Amino acid sequence: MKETKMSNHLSGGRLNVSILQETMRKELLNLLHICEGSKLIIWDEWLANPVGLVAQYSLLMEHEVADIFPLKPGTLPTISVKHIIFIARPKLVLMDLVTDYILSLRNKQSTSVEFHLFFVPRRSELCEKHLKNRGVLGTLSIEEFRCDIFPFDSDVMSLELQNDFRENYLEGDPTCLYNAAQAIRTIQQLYGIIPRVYGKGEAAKQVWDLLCRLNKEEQGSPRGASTSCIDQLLLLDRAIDFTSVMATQLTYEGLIDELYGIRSSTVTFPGHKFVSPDDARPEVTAREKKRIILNSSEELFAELRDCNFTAVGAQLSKKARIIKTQLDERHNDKSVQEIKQFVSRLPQMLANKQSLATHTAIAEYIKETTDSFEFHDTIQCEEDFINGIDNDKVCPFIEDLIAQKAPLTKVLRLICLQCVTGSGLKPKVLEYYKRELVQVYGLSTWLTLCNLEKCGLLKAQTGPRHYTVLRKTLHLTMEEFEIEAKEKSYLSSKYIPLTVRLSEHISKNKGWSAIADVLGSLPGPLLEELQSLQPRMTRRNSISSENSSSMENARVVLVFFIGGCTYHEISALRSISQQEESNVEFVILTTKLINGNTFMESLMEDY
Amino acid sequence: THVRDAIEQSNPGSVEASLISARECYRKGRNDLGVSICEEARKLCKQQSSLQETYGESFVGLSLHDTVKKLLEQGEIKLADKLRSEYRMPDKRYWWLRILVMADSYKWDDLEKF
Repeated sequence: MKETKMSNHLSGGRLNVSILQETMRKELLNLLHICEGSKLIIWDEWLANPVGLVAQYSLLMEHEVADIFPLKPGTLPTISVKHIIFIARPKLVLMDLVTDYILSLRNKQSTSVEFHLFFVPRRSELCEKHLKNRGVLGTLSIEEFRCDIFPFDSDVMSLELQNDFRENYLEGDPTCLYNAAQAIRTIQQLYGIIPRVYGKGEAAKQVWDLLCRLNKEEQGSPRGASTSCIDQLLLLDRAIDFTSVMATQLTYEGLIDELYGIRSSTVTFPGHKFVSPDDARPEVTAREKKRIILNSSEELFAELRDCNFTAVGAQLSKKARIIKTQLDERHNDKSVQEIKQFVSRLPQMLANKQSLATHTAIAEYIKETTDSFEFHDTIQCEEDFINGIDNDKVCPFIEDLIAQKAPLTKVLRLICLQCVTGSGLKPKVLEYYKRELVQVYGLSTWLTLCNLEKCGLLKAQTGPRHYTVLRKTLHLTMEEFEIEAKEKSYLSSKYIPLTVRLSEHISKNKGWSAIADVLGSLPGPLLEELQSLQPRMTRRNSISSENSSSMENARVVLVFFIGGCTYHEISALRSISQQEESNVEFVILTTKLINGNTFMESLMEDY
Repeated sequence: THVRDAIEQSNPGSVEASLISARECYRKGRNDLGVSICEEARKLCKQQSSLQETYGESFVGLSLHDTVKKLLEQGEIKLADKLRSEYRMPDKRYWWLRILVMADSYKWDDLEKF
C-alpha cells in the first residue's frame, strides 16, 4: 500500500518510469528469495541512496532482512543470521573490504553462514579473479543485481556512476560507456525500440557503436519487439558543453544542489531553521540535520524547482496566502455538508502547509548566500564571460580570489568558464593563471591543471572563436528585454545551455542538417541513425519520410547526457516542453547528476 | 608522475630528486612552463628545508603563498620580501596577503600606517 503511494510521482509523464522501478524491485526481491531465512545486508555505501529509490528499507524488512550495514573498513557487530549478502559495485577496493570481512568472521564464528555477493549492475571478471586470489571466491555465491538505471522522477533517470567522466577521459577506462550502452538496451527492452537516434560528441558515438555491437551479439535472444513510445533518442557527450556545468545554476533546485548537494533526490540541511512552534522539543530539531526528499510528489516543490531563485520568494508568499484563505474558510462554513467537505480536504491542506514551511526555511538558507556581495560578484563575472566580455584578459576578480586563497574549486570553475567561453585562453593568460595557482595552492594543483587540459577544459586559444558563433546562432544568451517579452516563468536564467538548444532543435526538426555547419566547431562526430524493429538492419544516414504523420503528434524525446547533467539543464528542458506551442516531452537520462563543484572535484588530483 | 612522487614524499632530499627528474621529462617534451614550475618547486623545497631548520617548524610541502604567509605571521617581513622578489609574486597578491595577515593578527595600528 505504502509502496504504491510512494512512487506515484514516477508515473505522471507520458513515459511511465514506474515500470522501470517495478522491474528493478522485482529483480532485487527475486534475488533475496534465493537466500531463504534471515539475512543481513551489507551495502556499498555509494549504492545505499540510489537503491533506496527502488526498494525502501521497509520493503526489505518484509523480506526477512534483519539488518543493514554499510560496507566499510573495521569490524561489524556480529549477528547470527543464515545469510550475509554483500551488495556492491564491481570495484577492487570494495572486493578487498568484502574479503576482509569474510575472513575476520570466519575466524570468530563457528556457526555456518552463507555468503552472497550481488554485483550492481553486473559482475566483473577482474573482481572475481581478485576474490579468487584472496581465497574467498569459493565461499561466496555470486549473483547479478541488474539495476543499472535509477528512477529519480517522472522525467529523470540516472545511472549514478561515480566519476564516470574522469574514468572515461582521464583514465581511459570505458566501463561507463559500456554501462551507458547497456542502459539504453534496458530501456529498449522495457519500452521498445526507439526509432530515431541522434547524437553529438565522441562518447555519444562510442556508446552508439557499442550498442549496435551488443545488439548483434545477442541476436538470438528475444528483445522488445514493438516500437517505443519514445520517438527520439538524443545522445549528448558532456565534453561538447562545459559552459553549462561551470556556470552557477540559478534555479531553485539547482541552487539547492550547488549549496547543499543533492544526492539521489535527498538533501541534508542544518536543522535550526526548521524549528516550528508546535515542535515538542525544539532544541533537538535545531541540532539535528534535516533530511529532505526532493521530487515531484511534493506539489509545491514541483512548482518551485524550475523557477529562477529570484522568483521563489514571490511564489512562496502567494502560496501562503492561498493556504491561509483555504484554512480560513472553516469560519464561514455553515452546513454539515460543507464542514464535511472541508474536513475531507484538511489532510491535504495541512500537508501543503507543512511543505510551505519547509520550503520557506530552505529558501531562507539559500538567501543567506545569494544576498552576499561575493555571490553577486561571482555571478556578474560569470555573466560577463558568457556574454563574451573580457574573455581574453586576466580577470581581476579571479586574481583577487586567488590572492585570498578562495576555495580552489571555485577559482578553477571560473577560469574554466572563461576558457570555454573564450574558446581557449590566450597563451600568456593561461600561463599566468597556472603560475599563480601553483604558487598559491601548491604543487598538486599543477597535476589538476594537467588533468583539466587533458579533457579539454583548459586550453590555449587556437583558431577562430567558436563559442561566439555558437552563442549567436543558437541563441544561448538572452537580453533583459527578451526575457520580459517571453513569459518570465518560462526562462529560469539568462543563459540557455547549449545541450538544451540542441535538444530543442532535434525535437523540432528532423535532423542536424540545418545547423550542421555550426556544430562542426564542437568536438566529436555527429550521429544520425534510424532504428527499425530489427536493430541489425540499421541503416546509416537514411532519414526517410515513412512516418512523417506521427511527427505531427506529441513526441517524447529521451535525452541521454553521457558524463552527467545539471539540474539547470533539466529545468530548461522542462520549461521548453511547457511552452504553449510545444508538443514535446523530454525525458532525461544521465550517467550522473552533477554540478560545477562535484564535476570539478572529480577531476582534481587529490580526489 | 614524477611530480606525483614529489608530492607524496616527505623527505626534502627525495622530493628534490623527483622534481629534477620531472623537470628533465618536461625539458625533453619541450614544455617550458613545466620546466620552470618544477625548477621553482625544487628551489622552494630547498629554501623550505633551511627555514625548517631555523624556525623548527614545518615548512616543506607548503605552497609559496603559504610559506610567505607563515613568514609574515612570524613577523619576518624582510625574508618574505626576498621570497616575493625571487619568485616574482605579483604585487597585487603580495599586498593582499600582507593586509590579510595583519587583519588576522589584529595589528590594526600597522594596518592604519599602511
